[in-house]
Amino acid sequence: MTDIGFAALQQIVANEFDIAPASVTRETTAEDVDGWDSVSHASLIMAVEKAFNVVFPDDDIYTMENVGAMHDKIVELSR
Amino acid sequence: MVATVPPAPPAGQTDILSHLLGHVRQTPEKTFVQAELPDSRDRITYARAWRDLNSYKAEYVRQGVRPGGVVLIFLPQGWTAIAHYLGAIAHGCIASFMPCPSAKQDADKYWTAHQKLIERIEPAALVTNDAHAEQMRRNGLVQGQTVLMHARAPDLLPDGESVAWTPAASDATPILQHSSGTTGLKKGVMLSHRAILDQTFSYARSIDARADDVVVSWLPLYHDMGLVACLLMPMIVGQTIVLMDPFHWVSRPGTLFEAIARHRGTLCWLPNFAFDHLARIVEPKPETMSLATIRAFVNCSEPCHAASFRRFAEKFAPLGLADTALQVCYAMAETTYAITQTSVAAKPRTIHVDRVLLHEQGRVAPPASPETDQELISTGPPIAGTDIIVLDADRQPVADGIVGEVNVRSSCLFPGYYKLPEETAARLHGDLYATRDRGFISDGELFVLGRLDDLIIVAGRNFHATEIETVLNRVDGLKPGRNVAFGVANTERGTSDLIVVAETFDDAGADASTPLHKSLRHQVREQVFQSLSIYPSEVRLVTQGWLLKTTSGKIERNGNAAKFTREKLDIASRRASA
Repeated sequence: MTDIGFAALQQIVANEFDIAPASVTRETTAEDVDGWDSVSHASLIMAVEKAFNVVFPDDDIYTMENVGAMHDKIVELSR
Repeated sequence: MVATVPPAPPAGQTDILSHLLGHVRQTPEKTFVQAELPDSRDRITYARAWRDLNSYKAEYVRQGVRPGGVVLIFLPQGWTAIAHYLGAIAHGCIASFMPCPSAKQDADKYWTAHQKLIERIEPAALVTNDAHAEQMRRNGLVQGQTVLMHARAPDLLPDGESVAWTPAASDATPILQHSSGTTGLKKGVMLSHRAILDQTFSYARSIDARADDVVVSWLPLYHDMGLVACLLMPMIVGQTIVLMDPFHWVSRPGTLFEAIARHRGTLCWLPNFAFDHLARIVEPKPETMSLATIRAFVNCSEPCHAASFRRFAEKFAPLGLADTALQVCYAMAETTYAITQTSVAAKPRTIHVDRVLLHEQGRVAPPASPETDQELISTGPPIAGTDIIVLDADRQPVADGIVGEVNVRSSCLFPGYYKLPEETAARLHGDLYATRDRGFISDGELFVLGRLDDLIIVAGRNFHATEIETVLNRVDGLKPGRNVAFGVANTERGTSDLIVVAETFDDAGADASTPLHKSLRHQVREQVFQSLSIYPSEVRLVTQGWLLKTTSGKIERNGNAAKFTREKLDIASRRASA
């Protein structure tokens, strides 16, 4: 079964932007992370979808406010 | 049978809409625009296009929009935006697509930033949707005789008066193409019917365009590549356009290949970063994707890299990508669009030169050693009716193989920037346009190396470093005038990264782990994004004295870029050896 704990998402975000996992919190936003733009966001979305076996609705891709909201969405889509 | 495009406009068709009308009469049921948008799969025939265009023209008349004035269209990508645009041209106005604020941008700040532009242009009309209209009014954009038009779906309008048709004069200006960057400094490139038609028929020959081509595009219509190559040219020669949404494409890039397969797409224009974005993210799925019908993917709008082509070709060969499908174009709005184009019958030429001689002495020679080998890809020969003259710093022509500034003489050249005579005089020298690009000619083909000025090109979008630095000067906690912005090539992403370095008050720049440091970095990224719709790839906050200055006290852009890169490499090598 896929681990949908926050730590797993933390690790994916950290890998995508080459930062320490501990620096990724529920409140982390694109403004906080160097290199997080619309193109790298798409790459992150693909990595998250693959890892958690979910597909984000198109309308949600650019409206999730922070990493916490992304995690909440993953949990919702995994139900 | 191949439906070829004639080498020149048919006699008497001296304005762009006469060509559209010609296709309406000859092939009324042919698809002009096929929407592949998140909320629409509408098919717009040539006949429907003409009907809608006339409906909007009638609406402009009803609302008292003055002919000859500028109509700025702030609408999402789609047929409604295009029909308003063409309707404005039919009404005798000067139409211009403008970007809308993204979901993450502060709407009030976005519209306030348009005040200077609006005051200068004094538009005849602003066309937008209901939500934006209220914001524009609230932020004082509707002044004087400007009409604020709420966009309506074409089927809500009465039938237009499509019988009477008076072609415009060939030297009239139907469109303004705005540069990117800070809103108040946007320059509107004026383009005449004649320039657009000359460009279309010259460029059509260069890429062997055919009337039965299907152009698939997610490019924004406010960008010259999206507008000219993917809307106006197809309209003038009677092709079909498959229209996608840029935001949706970035997050779901594979949809481009699915649309190409569904509609048997033959031509597609992309900036260099898109080749890498597709190669990195999309997994080839032959059951829903095919590239077998594509004759050309044209790489344009930012420096093209042979390595990006190699990654793309290798990944997508299983989808039937032809060997000769990856091509290069060099273009800019001031020449309507294309200046050069590689031949679609062969792979673009690549050459290997000595990097040191090229950058230090400005001349082309074979590499002295493998370490100094630099691969360059040709942008092709000039299109018909266009001459390229490479000039030195004294504006004297240089020999082939010598680096200088690329200057262009063309029948497609713009007459100037709208209501900006000083900016026009700085770039137009008689009939020569100074591009500010560095490059050289080799065997009749142009190789482009980079910029002479502070322009930073990120994912096909242009930003002047000084505009970014102006934003940094307003961030509380940073020392005004003690910052610098520059681009650093990112070979993995196939584009440049936007880097900003700024000195802080006190010692906030010294320790990246402090809340103050984090808060400042957050503010910098947020304010740059709100002003320019781009996040810097890296924000480096430093203590006073880090930035190098020239002897006259100015911040040294190239020197600081080199210092930043050196420090990055040092950190990377320390990490690797740890």
